Amino acid sequence: MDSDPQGPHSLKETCNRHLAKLQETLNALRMAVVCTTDGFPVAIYDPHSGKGQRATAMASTLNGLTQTISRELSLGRVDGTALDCAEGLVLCRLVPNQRRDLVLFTCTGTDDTYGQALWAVRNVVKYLAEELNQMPPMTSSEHEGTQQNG
Amino acid sequence: MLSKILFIGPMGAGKSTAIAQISQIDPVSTEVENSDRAQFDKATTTVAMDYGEVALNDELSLMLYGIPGQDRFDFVWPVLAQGALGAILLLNNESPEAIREMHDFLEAFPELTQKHAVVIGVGRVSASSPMKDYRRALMERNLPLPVFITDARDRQQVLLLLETLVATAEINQYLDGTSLHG
Repeated sequence: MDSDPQGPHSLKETCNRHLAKLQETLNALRMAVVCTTDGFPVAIYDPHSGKGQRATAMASTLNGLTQTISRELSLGRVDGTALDCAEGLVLCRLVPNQRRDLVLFTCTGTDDTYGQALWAVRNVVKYLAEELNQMPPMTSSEHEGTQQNG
Repeated sequence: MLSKILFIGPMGAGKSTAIAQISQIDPVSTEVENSDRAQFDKATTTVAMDYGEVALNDELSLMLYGIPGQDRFDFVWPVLAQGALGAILLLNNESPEAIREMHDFLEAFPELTQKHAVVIGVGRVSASSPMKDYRRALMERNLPLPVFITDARDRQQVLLLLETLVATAEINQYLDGTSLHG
């Protein structure tokens, strides 16, 4: 297993690879980001809007708020949140893993159905979490790298 | 009467601590692990909001909203600011950018600043700290806002900020011909 954060199995590279799979699965994917729970970018797919980095902060806020609502109502951990908008769908899902929890935030247009998007995102979360669990513990340089990547 | 107060200021200034000190309910928090130990070395950081409640007297209860302090979360600030009576601006005097941060937050909440509905609490102040620097910077902008030395861990000091803010708001609203108490 490669422990070099800049190597072929770095956190950023791993997340980018899973975002590429998401891009292959969803025709209407507009944006997808993976970030830390406090809003630092790890990987960004954002070919058009230029709002990818800003979306990482919004992802962490949305995730933090929904986790708090669920905790306050004694409903347990929130696996995901959906915003069903007129022009598309936003799905925000926690990527729980043994290294450090991350957040996957996706935005799709209307050409993908809710079911397609949810199925694709859940699969990416599942396989990304599995791969992250196989990786060595996060190094300090990799930790710092989450604040510089994107 | 129920009013809404904001706690604003940069990361690590003590917003979550201040709300926790004075809230009469268990505070609602959205804290997660802090990645940015270089900016401020603390374990957790707020990503959406803090919330607490306190009754100042039989007639006035306050809802206390704390913002996430990092400017990458500035999209949520105007959402939390809607309907606020005023704001407590907490600053960390040990920050080399404390004066600039004061200006940044006053500019980020223009409606509250323009009606002088902001009270400033400066923390981590040593005996020799020049508080006059803050007052001078405010006067240069013609903003005669109250400035206090405040330890956010001290309930009485935080309550003093709140009472000052409410008194200021009452005076402003009296001058405007409106009333805080309906």
